[in-house]
Amino acid sequence: MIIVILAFSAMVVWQMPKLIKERRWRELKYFSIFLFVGFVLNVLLAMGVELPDPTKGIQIFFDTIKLHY
Amino acid sequence: MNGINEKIKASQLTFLIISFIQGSVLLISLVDDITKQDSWMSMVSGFVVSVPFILSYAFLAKRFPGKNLIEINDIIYGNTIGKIVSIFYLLFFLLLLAFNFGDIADFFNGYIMPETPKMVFIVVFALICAFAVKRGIAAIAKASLLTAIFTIAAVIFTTILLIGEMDFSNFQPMFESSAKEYLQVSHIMFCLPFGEIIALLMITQHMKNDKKLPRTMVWGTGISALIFLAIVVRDTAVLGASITIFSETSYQAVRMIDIGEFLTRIELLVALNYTASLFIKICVLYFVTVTGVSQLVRAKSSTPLILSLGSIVIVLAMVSFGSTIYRNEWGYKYAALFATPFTAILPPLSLLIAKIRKLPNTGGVRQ
Repeated sequence: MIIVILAFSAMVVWQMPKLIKERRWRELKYFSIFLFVGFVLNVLLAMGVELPDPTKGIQIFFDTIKLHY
Repeated sequence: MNGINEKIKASQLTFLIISFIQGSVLLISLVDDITKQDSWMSMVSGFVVSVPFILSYAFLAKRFPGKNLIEINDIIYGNTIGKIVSIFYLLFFLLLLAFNFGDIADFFNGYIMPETPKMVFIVVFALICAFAVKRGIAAIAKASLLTAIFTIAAVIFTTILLIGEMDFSNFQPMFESSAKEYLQVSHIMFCLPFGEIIALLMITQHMKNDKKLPRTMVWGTGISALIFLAIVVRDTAVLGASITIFSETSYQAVRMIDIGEFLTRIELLVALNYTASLFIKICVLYFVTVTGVSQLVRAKSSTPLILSLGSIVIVLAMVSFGSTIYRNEWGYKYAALFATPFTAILPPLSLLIAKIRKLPNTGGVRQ
């Protein structure tokens, strides 16, 4: 948990100032969005929350249309 | 990203394709499970089936020189639908990337360091790949030369050492599997290792000479198919009927090497080999995902997105596939179908639409 927070703050400290200084707002926006999503997911993983498996969803989709080997 | 404008040569693309496809070498044990001693035939048929599709990718890239898959989608399907198709492609590449991270972690966890948590392998590998992606595609292409030669040399070396153990009666009885099983394996072989080179359409714009593209792609795939064939023949000849038992066939076959109790434990060569080619594969997929996403959101440089996308991929890699058994079931039943729209349906369709609409319009687009 602490490692996750440390790693993400390192990423922010490393990338953010450069982007702000060069006024690249569009990149800053998407960088922050993706980083935030990644942060939330990583914290949930570190807390031991059962995250949904993306392959299970695809599997259910193919099972419902009855198309698999 | 450094070296974004660097060009790669046709020969480098060949090596990139070889390493990229060899990254799926674990799949062979899955194929062995289905068609047993006839795997080599399904391997050949899988390659033959893939050739027209690979040519369709190449002609698509050749038709739109200097454009990558996302720009091609925009031109062919128009702005809105093109964006939707591109988003699906990027999700496909993102999931492939996560699955491959999961693969490498599972392999290390299962065979080499069973005590270490999976997360460690994924994070370490992701950091190395992020660094490689930051250096640009030209650097990855240069590294692929090394891994491709290493792969070919390792396969030849282990095959020579195993000649004593081979028994070619293991290939009998032939034509034992049903037609459905051959079809299934050909489909898996086409959609998974060979079809995944659709991802390379995102980097063919960096080619120096795209006239050579169809030949290069078919050559690269052909050499990879030959390596696969050599591996399958070697494994079947050495292990015989027991190939269905092991979940990692090459590893077990090479483990049989024992020459004068001196040349033993060469299976680590297979592990190294696999790690090296998977490294190239992951780097290419990572690069493709990052450039694709940054192009979709119209960011000027994709460097800031490398780490932030990587953090999402790490979680995806951790949560997908709870167990090896489930992974095998996924590969056996669903993986090929999941990849089919992206590798077999959309690219020929795009080419057809481009032909009908006579795209690209003569606006001096063709250089």
